[in-house]
Amino acid sequence: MIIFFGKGKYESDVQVQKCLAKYANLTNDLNCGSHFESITEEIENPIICRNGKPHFENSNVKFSVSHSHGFFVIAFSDSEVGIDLEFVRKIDNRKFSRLIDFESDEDFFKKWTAYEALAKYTGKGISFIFGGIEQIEKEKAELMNEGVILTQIPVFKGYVCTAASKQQEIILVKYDNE
Amino acid sequence: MSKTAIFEKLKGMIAEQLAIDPTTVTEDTEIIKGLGADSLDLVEMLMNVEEEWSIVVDDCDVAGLVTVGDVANFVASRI
Repeated sequence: MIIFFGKGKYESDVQVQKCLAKYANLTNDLNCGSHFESITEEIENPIICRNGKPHFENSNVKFSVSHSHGFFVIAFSDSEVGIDLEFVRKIDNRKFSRLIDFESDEDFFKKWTAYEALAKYTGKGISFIFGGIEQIEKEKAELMNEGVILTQIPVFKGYVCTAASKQQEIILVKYDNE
Repeated sequence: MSKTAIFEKLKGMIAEQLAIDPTTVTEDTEIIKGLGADSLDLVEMLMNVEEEWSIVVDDCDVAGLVTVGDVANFVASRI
């Protein structure tokens, strides 16, 4: 899995497309993930479908995007992936304790990003979290039994980022907007 | 409560939560793309809506709530 991180507003298709091209180059250079014989039309002009879990209509590469307060992460892999980035800020304990059990703000953001990464991995999105804590924990246990690994990714100071994937190898690449 | 009143109230709530100018919020404003909210902001927003109007947002409702107008329509349909 290769994760691009950088400054940027809400995920744009252009952002994903540019990173996909870099991903294709890197997998060849680093000999990881899918091997691309060349940068094909599908890589240069991927068609992103956002009906359900976002995916490329014309490529087998999987991806997941997250943004929070001016920064973003995009994870690419040849197998399913989910990623969540959150800016750590004060939260309303009373409200969020309805959704998640947590002991501190830091604990909250670690758990929240884990749940969201899994939500994106499955394609269920935020509705996964509204399903209730028991349901979330049950689905989390099932996914982890299937081999899904949750990994905290240290990308930005003051942010928490978690990725969900069956792949253990993770390569981080800083993305500079051109 | 009229839909217009719901929207105006919602606009104020969102502006306060995200610390933005309420005049920038329209019915067509997308919550994430347009307001720069992240997923946590969206969840908090929906919880505020639940509390304000004493309604429940089910997990199956969330996917359809893309714009501020969608949320206002949802509230109008539940009160």
